[in-house]
Amino acid sequence: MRENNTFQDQNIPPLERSGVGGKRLFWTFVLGLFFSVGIAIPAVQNFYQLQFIASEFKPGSTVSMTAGRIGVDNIKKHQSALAKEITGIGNKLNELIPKQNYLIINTSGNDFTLMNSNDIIRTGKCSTGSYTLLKGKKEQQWIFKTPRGMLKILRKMKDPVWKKPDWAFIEEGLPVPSANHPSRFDYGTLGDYSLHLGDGYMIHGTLYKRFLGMPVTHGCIRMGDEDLEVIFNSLPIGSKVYIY
Amino acid sequence: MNKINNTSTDKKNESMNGKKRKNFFVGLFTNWKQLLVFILSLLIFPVLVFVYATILPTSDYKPAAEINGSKTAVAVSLDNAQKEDIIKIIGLEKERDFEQSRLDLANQDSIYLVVNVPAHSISIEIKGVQVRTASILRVESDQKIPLFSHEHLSAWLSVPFSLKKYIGTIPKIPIVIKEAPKDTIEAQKLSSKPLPPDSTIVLTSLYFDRNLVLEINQDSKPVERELPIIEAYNAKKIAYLPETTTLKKLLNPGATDQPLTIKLIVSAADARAIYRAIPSKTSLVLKL
Repeated sequence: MRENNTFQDQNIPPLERSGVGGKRLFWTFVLGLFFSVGIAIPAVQNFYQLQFIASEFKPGSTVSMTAGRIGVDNIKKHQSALAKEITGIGNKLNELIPKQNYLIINTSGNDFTLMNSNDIIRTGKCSTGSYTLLKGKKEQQWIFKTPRGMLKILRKMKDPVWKKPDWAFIEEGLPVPSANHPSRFDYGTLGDYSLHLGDGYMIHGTLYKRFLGMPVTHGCIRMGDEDLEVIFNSLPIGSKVYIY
Repeated sequence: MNKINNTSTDKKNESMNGKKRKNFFVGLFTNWKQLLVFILSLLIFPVLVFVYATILPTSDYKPAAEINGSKTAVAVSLDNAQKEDIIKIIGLEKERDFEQSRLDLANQDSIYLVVNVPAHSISIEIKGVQVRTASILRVESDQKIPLFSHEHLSAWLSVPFSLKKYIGTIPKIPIVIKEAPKDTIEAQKLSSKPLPPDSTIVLTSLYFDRNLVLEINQDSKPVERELPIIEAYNAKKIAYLPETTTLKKLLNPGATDQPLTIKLIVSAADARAIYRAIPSKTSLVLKL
């Protein structure tokens, strides 16, 4: 009888003896993993939201860390010092805004804004550099772009005469004359006024009013007659011109 | 005899299997071993996600390239009034850093970009003068940003960012090459009409130092002819950001060298003007 029992016990795997088979535990594990993935998926989808929530509860959260740096006793003092510092920086920034009228030129949209402090006086269309790269002979080349940054009006002229540079002849397929040859002097093409920005760049009028608002110039800023007159009268020498 | 024995054994197995199947789900709640295995296996992934994706990254999450390494802060306990004061101080410090950076750049001779995300404004400045201000219609910022403490974020933001490289769907400088005519006859033949304005959709990515990526995009949907341009742009973006691969993020969720992307949606004219206006070596002042 005893021998029989021993024989029967040996045929049953050890886990079966305790009521749970190895296979059963394995499939329980697989089932658990299946549900586990199901629970974890929304958590993975909200990866950053979970991190954000966790960050709110982490011991060194932002407010107490900042307090730790400042020192709890210095909170009020630090607050008033900051307010003063901001006012000081603000004043310095305000000083950078020109006291007299100034001009802003947008080379992307080909428009201008005449400003006084933070107030707009006049807006309108203009023409700026065409970004044409003219390739001449002897590896000469010119790029027709309007310089950007802050420039100043260095000189103002009524009824300006344009002294044509070399590229103006090369562009028209003409031979380049000597430096002061009469053919270099062109009357009327710059309109009634010109405001000189340095390096040969000017704000002037145009005969091609239909092209205002388009990038067609050789680098100068062309304006319509009325706009040019207002700008000529509004901007004294030394006025700032911001070109972007 | 053997045959008889085999048949009886098969029957036995079948009946045992049937019993097992019948008792499998019942066992989940009655057998403690099976229940334990089930609970443990059920918790594996949620616990892994919680520790790996939540606890680890937030334990010390900070933006890349912390400028002021000496900035250390020890957390202290505060009452509600003190907390309110500290929140005000955080706001003031953000304002101070932002304005100070503007002032620093105003002293340089360059065109620079100023982005104030809380105020939904983006502007181009030259020597402290705002020459163009645009409204940000929509902001999509990296979800990691809210995780950074003010201490780490202010160290990251307090110095202007420098532009390293850029890509866009439009050329930054729209150069047209023209060969000089041989004579006046050839010059007359050349068209003097300006090119029609470029209306291609403007999507741009500006890559700054300290792992900041600023995307400035126009607020409109592309037309069909623009799709190849956008595809080429997206391909470039992927090539520019190999470190954003999901694999890398998974390998190191708390890494500090991952790029932080802030996407700003502005009008088409603003997107074009901003992209064209900023120099290739420009700076950025950012307030978050």
